[in-house]
Amino acid sequence: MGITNSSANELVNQFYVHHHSWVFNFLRRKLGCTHEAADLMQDTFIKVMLKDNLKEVTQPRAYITHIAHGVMVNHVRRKEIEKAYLECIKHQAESEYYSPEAKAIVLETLFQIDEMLDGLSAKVKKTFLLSQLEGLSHSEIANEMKVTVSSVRKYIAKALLHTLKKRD
Amino acid sequence: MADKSDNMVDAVAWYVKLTSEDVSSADKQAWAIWVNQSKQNEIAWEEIKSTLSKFQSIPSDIGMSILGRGTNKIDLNRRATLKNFALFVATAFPTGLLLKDNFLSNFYYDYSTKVGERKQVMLSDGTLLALNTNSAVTVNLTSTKRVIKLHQGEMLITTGHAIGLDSPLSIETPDGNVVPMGTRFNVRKFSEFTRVSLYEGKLKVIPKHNDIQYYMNANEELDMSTLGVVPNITDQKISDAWLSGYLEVNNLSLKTFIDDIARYQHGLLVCHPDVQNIKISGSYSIDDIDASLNLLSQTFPIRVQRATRFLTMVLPAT
Repeated sequence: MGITNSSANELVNQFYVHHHSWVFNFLRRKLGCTHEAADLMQDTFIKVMLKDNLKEVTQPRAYITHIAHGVMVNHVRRKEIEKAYLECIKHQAESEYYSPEAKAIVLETLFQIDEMLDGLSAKVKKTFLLSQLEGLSHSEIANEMKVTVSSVRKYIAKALLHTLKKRD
Repeated sequence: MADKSDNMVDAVAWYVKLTSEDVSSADKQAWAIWVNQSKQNEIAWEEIKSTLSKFQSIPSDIGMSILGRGTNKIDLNRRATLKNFALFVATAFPTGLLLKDNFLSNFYYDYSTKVGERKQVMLSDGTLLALNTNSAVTVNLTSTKRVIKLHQGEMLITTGHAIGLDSPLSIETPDGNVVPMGTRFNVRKFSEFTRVSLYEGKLKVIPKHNDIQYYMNANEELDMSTLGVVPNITDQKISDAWLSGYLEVNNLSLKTFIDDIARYQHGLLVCHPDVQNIKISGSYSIDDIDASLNLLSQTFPIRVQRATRFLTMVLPAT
């Protein structure tokens, strides 16, 4: 694994020294928060550190930006979901019966599913959710979404393929 | 090396076939043969099963509203109606923004405030308009009529007595109209109704879908929905102390208090069920929410836990 190799270590160090302040500023500008930017900068460099063959990266700035951007998008999304989730359960009596562990698991599952569905169009996503979460039949979904049954089946197939590709 | 993706495409096609209403037993037999035909087919099928099993652990209404955000208009407050698609109400989830931090476009609203901000303006007709946290109004003053429309949030209005004006002033909200007659009053938009608190003078309220005009006297408060009004007969009315930067409460339940101060800060502020009914009295700063929460934890059997950057919980003291 790359990190135990001392020359790889040295490379990572160099990356950090040369790049950490612009990455930090980049994140801070996008997030509007110094605290968050510092945390996400750490996450970014950990990801960079875990990459094999770091010396093959010919454009470090572009590469690190790409990683930082991914870390940031992920973070904002998780924030959004956590907030929406808490808002949701606030109004439900049953939330009193969910243990903190159960809640944490549901939240984590929501993150994963949300990530899997990312990139799908609204139509396709909704069709898929109606079939998986609401258990609606294809014709019920077609009715609800005002499309043909064959469209529903196409959308479900598209969504499913999309999520399976993401798993790899 | 076998192309895995062909496999997956077939497996997905089988899945859609098997979950169709018109699947026949011949189809099912054909599927069984396909699955057993090769290790790759079996693996592909297993992957579909395990991917889809994730959805089983999510309650469907939570899942639809959170995962389906941006695709749907969903009212989080009405769990019972989530399954009734015809009643979805708009609560937009702009991507990358927290729920409360709605983008209030300056070129659309005449006056608006951000979360935690307050603003006071004197309108051209002498009306004094004060806006509380996260609020937005449009103003239209002409010689024939004057309209101040509250889209979101809370405002305190003091009408201009000194200026003799012929055109009547009307306050519009999504729930109905308020017609002041030389007064000072507070209007706050809640999700299902608008609360009007009158401090001086008189006014009448006209719900949007009901012709009845309801008159109010000083020190009265009522909730107006599109269909009618519900007068508040208790002692707890909204005070205008927010204008000076604090909340004045008298024997108010902790939950109501927490829901109220939550508006003045970013992130979620929630109250544990076991302490929701503790009665709160006193004056609390809305400009320093942390100080107010600390004061609460010193006075009552509660503690405040900042669980994440976006979530603060008010819990029992043990």
